[in-house]
Amino acid sequence: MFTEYMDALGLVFEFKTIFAIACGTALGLLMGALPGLTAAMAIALLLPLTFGMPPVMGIGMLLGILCGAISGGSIPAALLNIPGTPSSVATTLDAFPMTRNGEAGRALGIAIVSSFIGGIFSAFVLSLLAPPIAGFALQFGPAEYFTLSIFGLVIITSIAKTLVKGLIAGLIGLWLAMVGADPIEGVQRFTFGQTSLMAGINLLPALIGLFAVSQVIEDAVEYLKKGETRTGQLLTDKARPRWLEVLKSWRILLASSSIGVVVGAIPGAGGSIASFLAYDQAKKMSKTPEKFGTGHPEGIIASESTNNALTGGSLIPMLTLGIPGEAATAVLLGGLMIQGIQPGPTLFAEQGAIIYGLFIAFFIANVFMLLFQWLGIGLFVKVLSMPRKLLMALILVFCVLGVYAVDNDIFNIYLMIGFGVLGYFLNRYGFGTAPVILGLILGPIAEANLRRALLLSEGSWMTFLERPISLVFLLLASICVVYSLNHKYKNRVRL
Amino acid sequence: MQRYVGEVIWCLVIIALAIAALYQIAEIGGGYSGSILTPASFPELITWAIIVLTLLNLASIFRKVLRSDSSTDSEPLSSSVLPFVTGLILLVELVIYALLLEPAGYILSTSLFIVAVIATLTFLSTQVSLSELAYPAIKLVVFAVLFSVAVFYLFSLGFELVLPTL
Repeated sequence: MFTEYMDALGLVFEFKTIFAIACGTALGLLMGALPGLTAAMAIALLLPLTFGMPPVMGIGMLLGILCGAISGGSIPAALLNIPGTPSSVATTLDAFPMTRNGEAGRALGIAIVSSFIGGIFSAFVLSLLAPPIAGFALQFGPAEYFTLSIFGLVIITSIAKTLVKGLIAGLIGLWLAMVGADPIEGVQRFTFGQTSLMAGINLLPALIGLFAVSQVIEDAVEYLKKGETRTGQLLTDKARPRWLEVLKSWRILLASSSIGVVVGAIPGAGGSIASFLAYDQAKKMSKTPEKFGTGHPEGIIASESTNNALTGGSLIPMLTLGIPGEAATAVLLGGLMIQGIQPGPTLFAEQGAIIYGLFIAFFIANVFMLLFQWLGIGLFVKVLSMPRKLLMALILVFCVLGVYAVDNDIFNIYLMIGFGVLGYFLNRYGFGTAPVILGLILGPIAEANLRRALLLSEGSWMTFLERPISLVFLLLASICVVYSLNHKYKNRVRL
Repeated sequence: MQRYVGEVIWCLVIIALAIAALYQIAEIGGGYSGSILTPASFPELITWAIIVLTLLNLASIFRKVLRSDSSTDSEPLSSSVLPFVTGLILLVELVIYALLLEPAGYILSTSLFIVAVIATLTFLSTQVSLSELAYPAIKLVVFAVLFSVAVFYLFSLGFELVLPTL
């Protein structure tokens, strides 16, 4: 491992790579600071910029975007009481009251340090836990990969409003993954004579359509209903990092960061759940729980350290098993695949330098996040007053150009528009778009491994039950379905 | 009742597309590898699963409709039509942008697209009157052209990505 880390250091500590991570973090912060623009959308939108880059540089930039976007969500949460990302909802509870008390700079300063420490903590856990998990996953054969894909799909469907809707969205993704040549015999399916579809659906138009175009359509609809949000004059006192104030609450910091990593590593759990869990835990641990909700620093520490610890946690199943935990890591997984990197246990064995390079890049992205949020807070605050209609137009231009730049094929733009419409309706009716992407990514893996496993077992379906790891994944998937149905039933009874 | 109409239509569209897919699946050849599953098996299984689950979802919508009080459904139809029209116009503009991108060139098509999107949102917005346009026409055109040129150089020189001709 030491040799691989040394090789990785050589890959990361090049001027261009560091610059790309810095740019990614700054762009992520900018997009995270804009309410309504999610981390998933930020990654999808900026993904085309990484095409010409070597893997560590490109993925380093995407990791920077992820870190920046999650952390940037605290800016509108503190200043406007509008969470920039879903995971910063709990931040509004204490950061905004602090701003109303005339201490916006203090709120942001606490958020900056908490985000940084949470992020660095999760980077350590990621680099410690990911290699042994990947080592264990090397034992997987076709049967295990198939059941793992099913488990991944079932678990991410929990993002949707109901299990049925999540499953429909995941199956739509799986179906779309069938377009093109089949993985065993090369027979063409659903191509309708279109040469652009023969190699399957290009992932980038799907990602940008589902996460960016659909979001812009939704924003445009909201814009017509509510008009331009007047941000007014946002005055902040100096947002310098409040190290002492944060470190004084080290127990809350440690507990919240741990919650973030653990919840992040559980696929499907989600950012807002983690931050509320940590907020609640911090309240229980606090000597002054009655102050929570009135501008208490411990509330901001709990929420913000959890948010950023969550990013590292969610990278563990994504990098080791190829199973993303939520929308942003699903898009990041797509980004890795576009870069020619197939996440999973073999990646650690075959391209160790790249994977350890990504760990180092994740550390560096967290450092840039601290610096940029500290020094560039004025700029990010200004971004909040950008007219939304202008922003929507510019995002659509980037969508079109990014998709066109994949291989200079206009067909990809039409494909993106189609996915945009699909994403809009899926979101509007509570199906969610993340299961579609996971279905698209896992579809070829699931189909190829199902057919390979059946070939090896001479057509016996019992192979999935006879192999212990495969059986465990099937049991876990069944538990998820039962839990989700039970949860829904209890909610209905309560109503 | 009205709030469920859109979702019912959406579910019916999914079912219609799935049935059309079943006809396509019948034409898929192959099956030479000796496996009990052919290239058509997996898509067929998924398509049937989509149909069954969508029917389940429809059933749950109808259950909700029967339980809900129709008198509380007071959203006027006009308020749901205008946003739908906006989304449709944006999509048409996107398609026109894609059609123009190569023949008209990058700068012209991108500038026109930016102006068109902002003008659409401004004119359709109920809260912004024509007299208080945030971006007066000339300013907007200048901005659109400058932005297009800047992005062209950023993409082609900065990120070495090929865009349509100027």
